[in-house]
Amino acid sequence: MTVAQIATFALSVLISAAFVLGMVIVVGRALRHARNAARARLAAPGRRALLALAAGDDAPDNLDALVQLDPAVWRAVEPTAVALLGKVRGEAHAALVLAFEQRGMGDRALPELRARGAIRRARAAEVLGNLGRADAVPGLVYLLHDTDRDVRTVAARALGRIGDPAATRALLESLAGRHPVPPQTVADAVMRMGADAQPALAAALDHSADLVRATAVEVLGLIGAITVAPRVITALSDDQSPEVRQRAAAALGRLGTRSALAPLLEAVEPGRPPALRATAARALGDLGAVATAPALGALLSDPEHTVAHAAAYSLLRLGNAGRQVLEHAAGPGPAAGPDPTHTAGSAGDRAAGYAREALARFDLDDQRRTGEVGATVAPPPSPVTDGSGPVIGSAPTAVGGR
Amino acid sequence: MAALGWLRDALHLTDVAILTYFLLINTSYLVLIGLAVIEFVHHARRAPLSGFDETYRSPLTQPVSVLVPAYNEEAGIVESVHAMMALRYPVFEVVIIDDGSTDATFDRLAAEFDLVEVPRVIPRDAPTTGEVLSVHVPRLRPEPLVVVRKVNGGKTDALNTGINLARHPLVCMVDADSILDPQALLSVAKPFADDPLRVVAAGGVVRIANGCTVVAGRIVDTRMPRGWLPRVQVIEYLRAFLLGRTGWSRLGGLLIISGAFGIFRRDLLIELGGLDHHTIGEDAELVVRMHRHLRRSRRDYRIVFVAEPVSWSEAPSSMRVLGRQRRRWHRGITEILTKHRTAIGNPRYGRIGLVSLPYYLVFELLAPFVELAAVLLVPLGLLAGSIDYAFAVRFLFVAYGYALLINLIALTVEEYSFHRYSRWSDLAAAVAAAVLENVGYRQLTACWRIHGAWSALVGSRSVWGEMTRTGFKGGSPS
Repeated sequence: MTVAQIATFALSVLISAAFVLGMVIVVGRALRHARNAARARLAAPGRRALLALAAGDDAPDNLDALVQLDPAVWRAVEPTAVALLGKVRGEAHAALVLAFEQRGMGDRALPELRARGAIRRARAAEVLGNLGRADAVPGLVYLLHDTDRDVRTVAARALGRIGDPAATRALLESLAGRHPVPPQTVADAVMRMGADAQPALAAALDHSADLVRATAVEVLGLIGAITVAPRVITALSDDQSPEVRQRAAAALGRLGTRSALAPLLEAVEPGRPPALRATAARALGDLGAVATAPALGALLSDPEHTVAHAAAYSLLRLGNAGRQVLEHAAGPGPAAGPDPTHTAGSAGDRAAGYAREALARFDLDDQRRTGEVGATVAPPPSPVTDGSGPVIGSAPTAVGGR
Repeated sequence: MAALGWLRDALHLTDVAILTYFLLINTSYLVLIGLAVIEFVHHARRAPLSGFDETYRSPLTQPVSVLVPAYNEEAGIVESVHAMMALRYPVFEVVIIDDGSTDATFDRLAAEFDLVEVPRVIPRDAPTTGEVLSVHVPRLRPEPLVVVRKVNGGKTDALNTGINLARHPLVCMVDADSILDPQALLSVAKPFADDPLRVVAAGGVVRIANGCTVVAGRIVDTRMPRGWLPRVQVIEYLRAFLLGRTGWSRLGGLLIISGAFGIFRRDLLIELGGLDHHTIGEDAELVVRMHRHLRRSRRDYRIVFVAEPVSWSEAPSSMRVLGRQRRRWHRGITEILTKHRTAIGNPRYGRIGLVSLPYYLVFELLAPFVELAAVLLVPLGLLAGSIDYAFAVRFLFVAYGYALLINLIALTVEEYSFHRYSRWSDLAAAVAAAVLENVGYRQLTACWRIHGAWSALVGSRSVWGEMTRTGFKGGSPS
């Protein structure tokens, strides 16, 4: 083959390929437009009944209309129906569930949990979760160890929607192993099981995997498992994993038991990991115990920004006692205050900076609550870079009203 | 005569080398597009199972600080901030860093959101040079907005200041002229929820907003831009950013997360010392440094690219601004590859060292040089008689015909995956732009890119990538 022939061949290939691609684009677009239009036409009667049901109009006519839809029409309307099922709550949800069940969707989905295709398994899990089918729990638990990540995730989510506490242990176990489920998905699912999940959650605090213990302790805090507080305190004090201890501190703040006071005060002491100290300082604010004000006040000058910052905002939550500590640390206003260029970086100045920031935030929140604009005391001086320390000294508050 | 013969041989060899180069570079695009198609098919089939509603309702979804560096962005800043405030995400804050703007950027924000100055202690976790002048929040409105004014220090300095100010564990960097799809933050942050132990960064796709209709900070109608310059850029973004980066992500070798829409773990940014002040392509440099750091410390990690939804940005519509942008981009690539030259071809950095960095060296950094060499040497070869007419024709087909074909394939993939441009007229404009990219546009950008590489090599002063914006007009095409 000569060079000229190669060139000619290349040209024909190029023109042919461009023509084919052009046709693929044009035909594909035309077909898509036509298909969408046909689907919209077909789905129109079903959509009306579906949207009426979703809007809370559970008249038998709407339900019957959906149940008796021609299979072709139902196929057109089904994606919208499935999407709505996951979004609506209360009576609308119950009515939609009834429609799905009467069309046999749940019964058809059950065997699909063992379908060969991952997408089919995941879709079946999604439908069964939305329908709240308790008889699907064993099949869904099995899918928690599926080789496909999306299938595992959808199965965990479905178990959460069904809300059977019997699945709690399996859900927590699914965090460990070769094919884990994302921890947030597991935590969200277990949270939906409520107080009945507490025994399994408490037992999971002895699990060998850090992630299982960390998730369990976090969920215990979120569901307000006060009776398990002593066990959470033990996790804060004794667990080997810094992550578990940190989440235990946050959980104790949410639980709000007085017995958490001493272990949290211990957790904010220097020498602990900064992330744990900051979380514990925030948790002390959640507890709202006035007795912690001096300890939190001492943390305002902590060299760790996250710790001092958390302490300042926690003090705000202690009411007058906390505010007094902040005002004392903030010192005099900017007009009479020391020139920050000379004092930035000192412990007292750092504490003042955090205190002023928190107090300004309080005033602002107060204004937002009442809708009134406070008088500005004085324009704040420019923040000053502290070359030696970890923070930039901030300007004193500009917002009046305190 | 002998010298002339030698010259002819040299020209012939060079032309063959250039031809081979074009063949390889376009084939590499084809491979990346193929990988992107696999990813899109996977994405399309599983999108209904993504569980965004659960993520949105979950109290455990990690809060995000959206960092928006702004320098002379008065035209569109208010619209952008409104769009960001309306993002669908459980807990987030928007931090605008006004990097010493000389226009009314701050005044417009202050007037719109009734800003009030507040004291704020700012940690020095990431290094900064420009002094922070003041921090502002809305007086009465509950929006989680923070505006910080600082002395001009460049985009890197603005972003590092934002990292210091950020209160949340994830930070999302967004350009001030960007308009995000409502679901964009949920989507780009989802990899962190799905794989929290490994995902350290995620990039979102950036598309061109010129020509689209924007209402209340939302893209409500996607159209091709009116001018040919932005139209060609639509095709370029589609091929290089959407498909190219999706392909690299699939390969596990993503090197660039656009500063216009990328999300990172804040603790890792601090561990890395923030963004590099000495590199103009700070976003890409950050990702390369991240790869190197994590590989050196033998950590299991993932850096991923999310193809949808998207961030929409205004593309340059004049030659002057486009030239400035391309010079800056290529200067960035040159600086990064120079800085990280010891990682190129280094097996210690896995596929980053052995595949991604060498690819960027050969097919990104050198591409404009080869492009211009082709424009000069092929006609020279014809004149000198070292190549014949048939070779020149073959060259033309391989170099430009193949590239055109790649553009058409990219358009086809877009048509079957996201099909954002639904009008037939837009399709016609896109096909025409796919042709035009190869005639003049590529050669022009090659000149700018060479200029950018030269600036990096001689070390001239780097400046903020100031763009001339027209802003997004509500209810009408921008």
